[in-house]
Amino acid sequence: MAPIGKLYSVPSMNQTTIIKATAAAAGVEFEEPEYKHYEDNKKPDFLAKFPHGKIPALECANGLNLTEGAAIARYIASIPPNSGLLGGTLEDAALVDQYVHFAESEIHLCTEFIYLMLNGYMPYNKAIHTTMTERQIRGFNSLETILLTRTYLVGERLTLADITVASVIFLAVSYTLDAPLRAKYPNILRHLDLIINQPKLKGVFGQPTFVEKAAQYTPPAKEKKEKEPKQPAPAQAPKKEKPKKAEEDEEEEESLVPEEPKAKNPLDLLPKSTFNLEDWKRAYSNKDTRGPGGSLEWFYENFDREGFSVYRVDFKYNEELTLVFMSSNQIGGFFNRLEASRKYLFGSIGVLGEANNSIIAGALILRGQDVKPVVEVAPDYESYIYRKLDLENAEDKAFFEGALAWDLEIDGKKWQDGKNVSWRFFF
Amino acid sequence: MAPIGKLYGHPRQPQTKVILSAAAISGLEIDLPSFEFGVTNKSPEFTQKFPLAKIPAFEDNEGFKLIEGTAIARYVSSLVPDAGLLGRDAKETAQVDQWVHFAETEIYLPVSNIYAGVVAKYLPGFNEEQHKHYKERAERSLKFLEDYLASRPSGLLVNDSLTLADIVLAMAVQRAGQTVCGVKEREQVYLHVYAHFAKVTNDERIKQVFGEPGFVDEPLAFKAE
Repeated sequence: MAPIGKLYSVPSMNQTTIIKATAAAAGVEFEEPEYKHYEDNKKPDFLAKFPHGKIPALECANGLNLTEGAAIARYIASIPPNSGLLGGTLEDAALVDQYVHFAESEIHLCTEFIYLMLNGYMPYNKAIHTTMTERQIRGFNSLETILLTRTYLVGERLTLADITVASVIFLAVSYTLDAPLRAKYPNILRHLDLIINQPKLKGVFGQPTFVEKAAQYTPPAKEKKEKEPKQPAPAQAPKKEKPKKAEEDEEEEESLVPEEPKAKNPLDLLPKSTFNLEDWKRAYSNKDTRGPGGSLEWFYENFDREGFSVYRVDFKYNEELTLVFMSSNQIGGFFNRLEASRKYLFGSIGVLGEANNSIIAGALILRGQDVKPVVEVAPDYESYIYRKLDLENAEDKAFFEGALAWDLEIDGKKWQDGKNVSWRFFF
Repeated sequence: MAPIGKLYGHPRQPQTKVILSAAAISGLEIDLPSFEFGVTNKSPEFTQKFPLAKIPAFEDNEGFKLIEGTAIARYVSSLVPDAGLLGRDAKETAQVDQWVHFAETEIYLPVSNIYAGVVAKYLPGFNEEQHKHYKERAERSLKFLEDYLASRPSGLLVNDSLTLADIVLAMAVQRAGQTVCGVKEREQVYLHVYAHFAKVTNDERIKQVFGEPGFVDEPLAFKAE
């Protein structure tokens, strides 16, 4: 089948995943022209086709220009008459619509809202956070009840409802649907596993990141951070987490993520160092960074440059960054994926600049002299450039200190410091 | 024609208005059993059928059940394709879906949050910043819509007859007129948007369903508790 047209989108959007999965299931193809958000959608020729400048946007060869993710997915599903993705009867079609709308309004809306508040895009408010959390749990409860007796949501085969629900859950397990909650919803997890591993969809979804504990609001003041470095590390990394299995559930033969055999990490074989990373993390959390008695002073007194090294890190694709909260999510996600290296690594990375003109940069303190063994646990480690810093060199030293003190400035772009936000990251 | 089923909902609830309008234009009847929110939907009989206890909820004569207002409205519209509520071909249907989704997420969602926060007061923690955020989001969408509707000779969203998109938009714009759009905004700023609202809601078939617009004279201001 010839491509039906062009899809303008960014890969990180949930709606984009739904559209791509629908197209893959329907056997519909479209082109994906190179697209820069906040640049291409401001251009007159884009706006002539899509006046709201909103993505995802589908430009069809037949002249139809369409926006709104759910509408695009539905249209794509309707192209092959027998795709079955919209259900075989009017009633099934209505149920598909119902679950799509349910997934968006009762579950995804809450994930998104909580995400926006926790990442500084909207003012944080505890009451709203609680309301949204409760509303979402009500949604999970209903979904679990429905899936208790069903393999697929509508009929006995894959529909747009399954794709939308799975995509919304895929995101939720990385943010709000944490380990204790997941234990209560074996059928939701089983459904997620079933859908994202459909042969046609596997390439679109990839594998989810399971968050151990739902994201919480952290006030920006440094004093509040003591707890963080104390967390027990990689033994309980999210990767190993396994959803609880319902006894009678036959389909749950395998865990969602295969167990990885635990080899001894070569970083553990390095000669013992006098620099204790955990002590450093505590010092950094408890002290001011600069000034006498500050954590930098502690650092220079205790650092062991044989056993550890210091790197500058820069995001490779700064031109793709748009809103600050999205950039901060990029960093948050990266740190999540570095979880397995937590005991070998300290990082302070931030967003510098403003919306549509920002960069991601920071500094890492890591075990050994080579960055790769430490960061390669994160599948996206190659999205960053690493350069070893020489602390004898004044310029490198200033960079390092700026990244730790969160006052780094590069080409006039200042480290973001919003009032109610948690978009400075370190661990 | 006998009623196609029962709709549990409140006649003043916007989503219920959309469903009843879609039924009216399709020439279908739906029973509206008496319903008391917080009571009927908490009864075991109801939650057994509709575990989320959410309204509107629909059940047809064969026991087929459906929730989510838009899905119900779309289903009702699909029963009588000749009424044209979902457009006349796949392209128009896609456009109907697009505008329905737009009206819900870009207009109804922000203004209904303002309504919930300022008028109904059931949004705990609603504050001035939230109010501003939603207002700006709604205004951006209304501005875009104004330009789009100004360019439409029929004054309607998809073609020259009423579709589900027009009904859902009218529902959203009604709420906007009760929250962020005062007289000045309706008559001077979003002229075409409110001309569209008038055109849709003056349709004899659905006039009764929409009832009085209940518009405000001035945009609602945030009030601290």
